[in-house]
Amino acid sequence: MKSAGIFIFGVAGLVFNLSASSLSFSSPKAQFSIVYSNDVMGEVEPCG
Amino acid sequence: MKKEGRKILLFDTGNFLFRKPPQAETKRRDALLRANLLIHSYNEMGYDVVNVGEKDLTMGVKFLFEVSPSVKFSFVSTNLVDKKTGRHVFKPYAIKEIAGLRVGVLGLLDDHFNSTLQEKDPGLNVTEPVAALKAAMKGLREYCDLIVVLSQLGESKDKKLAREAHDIDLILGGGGESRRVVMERENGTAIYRLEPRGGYLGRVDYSLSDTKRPIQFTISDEQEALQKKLERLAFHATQMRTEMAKAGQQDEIKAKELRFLESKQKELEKALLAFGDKNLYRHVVIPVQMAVSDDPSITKELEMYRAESAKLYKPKIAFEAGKDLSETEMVARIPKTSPFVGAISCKKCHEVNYRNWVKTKHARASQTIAASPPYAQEECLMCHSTGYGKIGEYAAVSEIPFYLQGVQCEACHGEGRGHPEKGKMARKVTLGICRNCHTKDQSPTFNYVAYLEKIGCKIPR
Repeated sequence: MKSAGIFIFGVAGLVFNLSASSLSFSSPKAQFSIVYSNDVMGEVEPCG
Repeated sequence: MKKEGRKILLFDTGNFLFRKPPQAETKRRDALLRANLLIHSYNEMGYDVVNVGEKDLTMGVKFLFEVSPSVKFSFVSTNLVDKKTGRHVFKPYAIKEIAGLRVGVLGLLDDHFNSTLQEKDPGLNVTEPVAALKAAMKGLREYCDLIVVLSQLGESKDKKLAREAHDIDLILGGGGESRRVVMERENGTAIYRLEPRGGYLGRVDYSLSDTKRPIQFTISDEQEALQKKLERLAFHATQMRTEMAKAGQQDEIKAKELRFLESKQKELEKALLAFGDKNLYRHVVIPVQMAVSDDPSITKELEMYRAESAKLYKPKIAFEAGKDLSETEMVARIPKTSPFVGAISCKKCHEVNYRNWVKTKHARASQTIAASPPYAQEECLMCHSTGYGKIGEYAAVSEIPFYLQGVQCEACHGEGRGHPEKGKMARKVTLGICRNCHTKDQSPTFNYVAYLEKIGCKIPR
């Protein structure tokens, strides 16, 4: 749950706050982004 | 981003609700609590479309139907159908409009999971993904400007999909055996996937200059190389800002270095402008923990979940730690049926290595999480004990048998039963083995060579 916890409240912060690394393309008519996550509850291999 | 009016679509490629099916009732109830928290959080975050992964069906499709009234995003699955009627169980695709473009979003499950799924839900059928996708895309390509596939097929099948099904613009991957980060293009289709477990977010930025349809997005090699350089710089700058914020005091050298990075970043951004009026896209990886601050409302929800979850767990009798036993007694108490023999057995021939290991953090890895609450331990135990999931799934540190406590020799070298009688240990310890636990998000400073020195295993026996 630890990483899922970090993830879920982190993403909300990202969606609302992150703008520092915005696009730098030349005067486009429109810009948009697709933000994605994958395997949020993915398992790691057991250590053994 | 939303507040600033940036246009974004937020997708998840699936397997976001559950892990493996919980065996105990407590774990089942905990998993349901957690799933509800995740759904609530995804709503709050404004997710638009989520692919149904096979693990999302862990509690049966009924669970997803039950929660669907409270879900604000769309579940999609292009190849999950009702076995009798052949009808789609969820929407086969979703269409989202953004910046005047129509984006078609499809979702795929691996048909490899058919038998597992049918054990729980005999009425479900996962059809062959490429054929299902092609059928769903008929007409969709003409209607949509961009086709995005959220896939749980895994890396190699994603590439196959890109080769066989034309006209896909973007595959966002997940699932499969490999946990490798993917940032590739195959047959003109961009394929991206991140490390599992939510430590990272991916962002594909699109810039639209030429609106003549059909709209084509390109990324040139040179532009991509510049882009990668820019991503690296931005990543280092973010790391540096985080470190400086943590240190809480002005460090002139670091500040100077940061200014240098920022000026280089601007130079690269300027160079990228030279790419003119093409429709471009680029991919950015965002380390969540470093780059994103916590959201107060979701933090509150998380705390509420933790309080509810903690009520489910009752104190258990501490497992015999083995600390008062002699070495001979310890070895004698290791079950002969266990594939693991414990570091104490390895000591017989590898005494120097053992004595070094005892002093390491690996040896104390279980103790370091002993104080964490029970609901958090299951995930931690995978890396803070040996053989988790292979011979038992203890729910708390107090339940770990003494010969599996900490990261013992067999955690990296593999199961020791039969060695040396039947030959050498089978597993060679590689960077990949370490990376199972020393992931970039959990162990950002991990360095293979330096860490290998620390664990004292390079000493000859």
